[in-house]
Amino acid sequence: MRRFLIRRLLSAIVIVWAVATIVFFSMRIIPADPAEVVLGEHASAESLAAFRRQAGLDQPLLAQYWDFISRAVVGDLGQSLVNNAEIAPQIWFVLPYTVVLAFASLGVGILIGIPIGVLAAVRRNSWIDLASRCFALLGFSFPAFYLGVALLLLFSIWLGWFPVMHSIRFGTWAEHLYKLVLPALSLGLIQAAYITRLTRSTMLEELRKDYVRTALAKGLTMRRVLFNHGLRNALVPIVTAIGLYAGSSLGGAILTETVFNRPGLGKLLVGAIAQRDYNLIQAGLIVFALVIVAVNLAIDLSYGFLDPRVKHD
Amino acid sequence: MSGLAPASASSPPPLLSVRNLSIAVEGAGGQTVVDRVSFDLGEGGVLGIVGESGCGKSVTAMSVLRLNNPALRLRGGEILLAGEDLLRASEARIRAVRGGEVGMIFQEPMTSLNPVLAVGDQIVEAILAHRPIGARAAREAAIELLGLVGIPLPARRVASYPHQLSGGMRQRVMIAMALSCRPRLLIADEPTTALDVTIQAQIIDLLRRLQRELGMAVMIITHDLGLIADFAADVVVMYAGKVVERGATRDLFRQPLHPYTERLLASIPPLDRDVDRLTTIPGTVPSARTMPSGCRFSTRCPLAEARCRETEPPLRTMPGGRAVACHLVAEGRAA
Repeated sequence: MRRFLIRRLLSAIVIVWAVATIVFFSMRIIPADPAEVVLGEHASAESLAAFRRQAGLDQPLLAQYWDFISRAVVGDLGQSLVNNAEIAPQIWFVLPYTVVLAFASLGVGILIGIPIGVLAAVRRNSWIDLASRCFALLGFSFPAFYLGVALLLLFSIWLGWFPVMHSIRFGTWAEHLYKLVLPALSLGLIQAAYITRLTRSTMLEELRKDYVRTALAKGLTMRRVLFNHGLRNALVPIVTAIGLYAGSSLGGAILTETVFNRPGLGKLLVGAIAQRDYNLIQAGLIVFALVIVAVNLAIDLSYGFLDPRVKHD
Repeated sequence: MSGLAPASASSPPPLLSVRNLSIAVEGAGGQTVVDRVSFDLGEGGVLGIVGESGCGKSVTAMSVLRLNNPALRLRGGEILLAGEDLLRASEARIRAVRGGEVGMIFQEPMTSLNPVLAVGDQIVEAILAHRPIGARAAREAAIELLGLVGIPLPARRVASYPHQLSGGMRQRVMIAMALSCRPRLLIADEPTTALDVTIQAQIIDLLRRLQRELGMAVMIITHDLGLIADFAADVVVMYAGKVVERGATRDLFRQPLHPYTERLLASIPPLDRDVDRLTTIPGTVPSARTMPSGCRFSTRCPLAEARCRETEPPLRTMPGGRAVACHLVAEGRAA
């Protein structure tokens, strides 16, 4: 267990370093000069040069890289190129919004996906199964941002149940929750589609196995056989897929936050990219990478609880 | 105790009575896999059902607890447990019978246990499904059962997972689970087929000891006649979905009547002398498409005559409860 953790932490460090490096250099390949973006196209050559000097952009590339890496290691994410504000507090401020959205949408995905998937497997080829397959196909084909717009149109504009513009920064818990509903649905429904299909296929596979027959032969109720035996075994592949999906789920969060004008890591990044704020983009992506690595580590550790045959050593 | 002839009106009904059981693959023209199978098993008796793969013996066994694949449909007949028709019992009632009055063990101990639950929890679950006792008492009972089936250190093994146990140990766990509510009938579907030869004997010995100690009836399904020779008092021989012969094991071994039984016995390798070649039955069981209209064994039977291929011999009961389905035996020309 300890060796497993150490090995995983070492590989996490390498992954985050690689991500940081790729981001650093790819940012500098993009044909846009942050000085011009920040100061505007009419800025004088002197003020552009002054900006570059102050931001360190006139240094050789490797010197900039070394400066960036050596500070990132000690947790110093630097300052925004656009407004000189410290980056770390900005990220700490928006991170909870993204985390809450990610968990809420995952909750929606699990609460919808697992029961429907189980039901579809048990009643194979029934109308429920057919409906679940249509739902899954629809979920795959819907881009997250489009679903967000469609939900806004339906629930905010036509029905008027939810506000169109989300000003979240001040409010009670109830208000937060209320404003979370549509974003969590738009991201969660798509996850539900994946989870439904996966649950259905793994359950179909599990229900064919001998131990299910044994469980029935003991005189257990169908519900107990399904959940205590079938689903319990199907959880390992389902949890794995949820972990693999965490990356694209965060990617979906970027779009969802933009569509719903909701603060969050995604929205922060989109703004930073629009302004060529190298430092903020770098910091944001590193945090993204950290989150994904952490999620995958958590998934790996969960195997030890889900499947007694897995030993971390 | 166990009798094979249909019970007369005066005697109490046998514990298990399978009557004219017919099962076919779903759909019009679906292959009949079990065709009018009948036999009785008395309280505390041991009955063997023997035949090669695909003869319908497992399907028959599964039917008792209605555990067959849903693609197999009941076409007729009844399965009476102490006079009660299990094929028409309610879902709740059949659940009470499963693991309650009738326990069952299967061929593959490797896959028959849930891999992610401790074996003790799986036994506890079976107990709690039927007996009104608390979780702690159920756990005590599970440990006791593990001891009963000869698992060393049962108090520790109760927390083991299936992958930590050998095949023989897993089959013992299965037996413990099947016996957890003291069933009147234990169905063992090829319980030793997947095990090493030395372990096979141990499991049969265990079943024999438990059957005597607990006084339960056992229905054991196997393709290995030799394995159950001194365990089962009576034997039903099945071929291609039909009963071809049934009778007391002793009589059947001494004098097999049906040509199929005879060849099945001949194919058991002798232990007391060397043989260069094992005796086999040439050919294979006919498929649904090639099934002859007459006797189903006629395609492989060395004695078959023209009428064997045309008319199906009925299962005739003979004096002493012996029954056989063969034209030639009826005329005293075979065996």
